[in-house]
Amino acid sequence: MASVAGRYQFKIVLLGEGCVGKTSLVLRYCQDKFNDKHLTTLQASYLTKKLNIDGKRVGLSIWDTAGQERFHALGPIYYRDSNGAILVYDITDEDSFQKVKNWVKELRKILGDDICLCIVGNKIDLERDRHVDGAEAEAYAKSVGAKHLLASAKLNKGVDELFLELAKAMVTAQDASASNGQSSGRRGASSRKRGVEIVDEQPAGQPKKGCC
Amino acid sequence: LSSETVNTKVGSFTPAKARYASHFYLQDPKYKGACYTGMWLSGKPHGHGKLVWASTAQTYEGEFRNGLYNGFGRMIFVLNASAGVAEEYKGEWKDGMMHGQGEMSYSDKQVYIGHWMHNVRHGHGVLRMGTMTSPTPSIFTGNWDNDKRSGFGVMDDIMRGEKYMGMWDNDARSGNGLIVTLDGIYNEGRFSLNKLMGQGILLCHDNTKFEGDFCGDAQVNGKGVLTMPNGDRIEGTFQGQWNEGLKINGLYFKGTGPEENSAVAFPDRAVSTHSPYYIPATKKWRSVFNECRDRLGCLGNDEPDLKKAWKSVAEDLVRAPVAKTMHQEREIIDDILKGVDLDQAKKIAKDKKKLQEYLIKAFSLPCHPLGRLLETLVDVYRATYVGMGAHSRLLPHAVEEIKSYIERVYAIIRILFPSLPNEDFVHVGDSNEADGQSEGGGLDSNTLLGPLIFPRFYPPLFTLYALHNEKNDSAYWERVLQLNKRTDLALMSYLEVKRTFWLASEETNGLVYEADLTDWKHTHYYGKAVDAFQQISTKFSPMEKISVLKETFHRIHKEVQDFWKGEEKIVSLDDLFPVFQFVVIRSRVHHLGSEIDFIEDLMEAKYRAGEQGHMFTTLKACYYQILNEN
Repeated sequence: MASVAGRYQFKIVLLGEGCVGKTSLVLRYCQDKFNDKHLTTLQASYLTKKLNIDGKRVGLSIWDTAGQERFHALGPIYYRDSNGAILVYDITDEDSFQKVKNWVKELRKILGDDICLCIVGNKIDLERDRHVDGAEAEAYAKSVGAKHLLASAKLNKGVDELFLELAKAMVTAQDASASNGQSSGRRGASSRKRGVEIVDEQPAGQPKKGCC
Repeated sequence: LSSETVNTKVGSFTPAKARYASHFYLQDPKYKGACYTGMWLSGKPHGHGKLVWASTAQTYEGEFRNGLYNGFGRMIFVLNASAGVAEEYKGEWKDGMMHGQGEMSYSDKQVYIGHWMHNVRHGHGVLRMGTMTSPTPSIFTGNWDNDKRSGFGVMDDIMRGEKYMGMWDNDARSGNGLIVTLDGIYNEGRFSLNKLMGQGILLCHDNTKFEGDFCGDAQVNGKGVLTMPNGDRIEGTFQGQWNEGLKINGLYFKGTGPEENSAVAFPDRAVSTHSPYYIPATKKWRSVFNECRDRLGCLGNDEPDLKKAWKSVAEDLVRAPVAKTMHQEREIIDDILKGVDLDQAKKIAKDKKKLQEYLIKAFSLPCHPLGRLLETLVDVYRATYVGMGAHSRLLPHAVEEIKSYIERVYAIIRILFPSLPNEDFVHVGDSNEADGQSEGGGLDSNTLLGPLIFPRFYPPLFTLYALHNEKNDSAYWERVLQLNKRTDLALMSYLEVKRTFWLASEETNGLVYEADLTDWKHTHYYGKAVDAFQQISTKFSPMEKISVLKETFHRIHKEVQDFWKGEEKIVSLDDLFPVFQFVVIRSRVHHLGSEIDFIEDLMEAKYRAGEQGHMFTTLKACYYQILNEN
């Protein structure tokens, strides 16, 4: 995604097993509605949100994915060209954390460091049923260069924070790649041009994240 | 001629300046021996007239200006009066010469239809070469320079069963080019003196590939690498005609098995057209566009002049032979002429709907420069990609070509409507609007022209997609037929659709396990969504297909809502995906893989990251899920 004159547009993909509550998190975030029967939007599988981070306008488009194991192989279709990924596990479900690890491995393998990762332990309202060790999860996230946050969609805890953290990380990453491009003179020009061309055509591999 | 120039005064001794008369030329170097009957002005043929040489029966009938052929006229050139050998030209003349659009029937049965300059073929033109014995002629479609084939052109050689598309020089194939044959061979390389010489690539239908030196079409001579479909390869020196056995002196390498068939998995459909012998689409059919610019009064690199352009359009429309124009078209012409005043042109350009209406009219009239342009483009596209050109390896070329048409037609339309945004500079900012809000707002070449242009090129283009996806599409079709043997409820159960969204009452739910229901095929559930989705193959532009998709999702939600009276809703993709899969399976869209690739290649980039992009991604995911899941 490209950004222009202080504007950023990011694609975030939402990954996690079926019942970890990833959709609730986004709904909570975008509409501040949790488990509400009177949703205004028809579907929550694609949502957008506009943010302002230190005067920078940031647009997020959040892509839900089908979390069932049988759809695992469809992941790449959804996360291609993503700037960020939110990987949700349920703190009461050790298995869901293992699934997150699988996703991380796959994302790093295919998209490399071009994607900002945010691992989220959901359902902290059920702290006493916790089955995933907090410190362990934290250490794991650190080891793969991901952020780790805890949240509860139900209590609306940590939801805004997690999206804000991820958005900041993506802005930083994009600024870094932009300034890299500029400092090296000619290459900057050519990569800017490439950024433009990506808009027009199917990027062959994974594009270097837009520098302009 | 205006009436003032004609002398109508009775009793005047001076002859009228303009009049109708006959004259027999005795001395004139050009017209000696001919009899002219027609309009005169100041002692010269001027206006409509007919010139006949009595000795040979050579005849010109048409328009004159200052004594010269000028305007539309028909000439019968008599080459040999006694043997009755003659050629006939019908078309435009300028200052006594064939100039502009014209059709020539030669004495050897060849027919040329195209552009002329100073009495020779020059610009875009089509030459049909038929002999008395062959009912299907060979056809050259392409560029001419001073009566010789030159620049890009397509030669459909029916006798030899092959089609060449590539560069020409001095009437011979010369430069980058490729040949496709009836046997499905694709041979690409550099041509010189009409022959494929030096490095080139030859690909067979079964993916056998030879890369190396050639000394003629499919004639191998020298170093090369031969790769078999299973990945085995031979490197060495090769000699011989491809179809008649090759003499090989080389090394054999066992391959690592057939290349991973990534087509079924997740193909990154960035097709690489860029072999070293590739000709960019912008280099093709340049004269077609230039001639349209000329028609609009911008000769060469002249800056477009709005007034001149609209005046030319009006002239072209008025000049259109009434006899050929049907009554209805006549009305359209009048409509368009009314719209010619320049303020109106500016107003039209501001209103997307009006502009599209105008363009639909213009494109439908062969006498309108835009209509003519589009008609010619459809002709050249068909000349390239129909028949032997319906070759799956030509798909990337065909896709790139249509994208280029849209850009270039848009540039021409900007001559008539200069207030349309200039797209020579890419607006990075625009592509930022990923949230779909830009939808319908800004006008750009694709939104404006997509719905008008795609339908005309759809049949040949989609055929290429279908050929390209033959394997996947038939595998998909088999899966779909198999899945469709289940009843609605059995299928939903199989797809793990959440019970809530079966939209079936409790009693019905029990029936799903009863075997005798298996032949109950009628679709009850999500029927409206199924109806909506089936429309995808009846739409011809990527955005219209995406709209079908949007409507499908909309109807799924509507049916859930109607059933549950708002108590339940599909919110997450976890729930939506299986339901959507159900709808797609029930819709039985035959070439879904081709539809998907079509959208993928031609959808506008700005929608990819937006809601439409997400919907399309879900469709793609669904297709692969159906294809790959057992």
